Amino acid sequence: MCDEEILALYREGEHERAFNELVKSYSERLYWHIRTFVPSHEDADDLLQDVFMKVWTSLPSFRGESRLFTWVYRIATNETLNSLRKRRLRNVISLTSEDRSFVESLESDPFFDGDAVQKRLVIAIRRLPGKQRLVFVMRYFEELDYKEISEILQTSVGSLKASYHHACMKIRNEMSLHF
Amino acid sequence: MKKQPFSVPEGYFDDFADRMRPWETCPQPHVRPSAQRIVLAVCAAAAMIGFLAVVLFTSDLADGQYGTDDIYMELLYSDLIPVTDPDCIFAYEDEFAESYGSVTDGQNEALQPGVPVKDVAQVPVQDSIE
Repeated sequence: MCDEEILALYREGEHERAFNELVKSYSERLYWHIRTFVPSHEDADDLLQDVFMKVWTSLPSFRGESRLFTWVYRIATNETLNSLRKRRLRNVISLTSEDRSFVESLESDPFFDGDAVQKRLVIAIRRLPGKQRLVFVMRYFEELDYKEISEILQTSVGSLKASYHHACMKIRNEMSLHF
Repeated sequence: MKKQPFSVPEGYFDDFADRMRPWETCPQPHVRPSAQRIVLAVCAAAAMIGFLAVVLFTSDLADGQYGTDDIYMELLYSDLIPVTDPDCIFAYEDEFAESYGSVTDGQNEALQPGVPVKDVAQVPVQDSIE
């Protein structure tokens, strides 16, 4: 079902059915959007549920000024950034190195099925600053165009291109240290 | 979309939609008007009240029901002067002088500017008005 049909269904009063269709349309895409930012599948599942809870409670105030796709992605992005902040704070309080804890969890993750090069790539992406990481993931893995990313992150296309360029340089340097 | 080097449990996405039933624990909130709309509504109400007040006020003046002098006198004598002698309050200066004497004669020294307040009580009060 497309976005317009989902919204039409919602406005007719079929809230639960419309929400169900929205979840079916976006759950997989949003899961992969979130996955690079969390250490495990369980964390991704929790965060994805939080995102859709937020979508459910915010749907009555959705005015249609942006596309449904942009709006849902924006919620997922904000929840992901909030989650990163909380995780950073937890690591500071527990005096744990954020980097070390991520590498350890990646090595013990049963759902990581990449080779050595992909492992290095994931760690290099993980070391990027939050927003730079977002831009890289959305451009490289999700293959969104700059205009779409600009609508989601409310940043100019020029800034996004600069962020992506810097992210690529950092990842290339990181990879060249090991390969 | 490029594949990331992660996998998910089998059937994860098929089950996810069935598991997401937020209406069972969290009813959708009532949408409150945005702050901007509230401000606009308040401004519109204030403008309407102001307009009605102006219309009513100017219509009374136009009808001649109230002259500005009348309003002035009403305000001047409303609660500012204790009611001891109603005739005194509503008399104009000439009538006042005729009844009570000028404010500059000795009988009314307390009313002279520069007379200390404590001395006012020492001035004998005129017993009769005649």
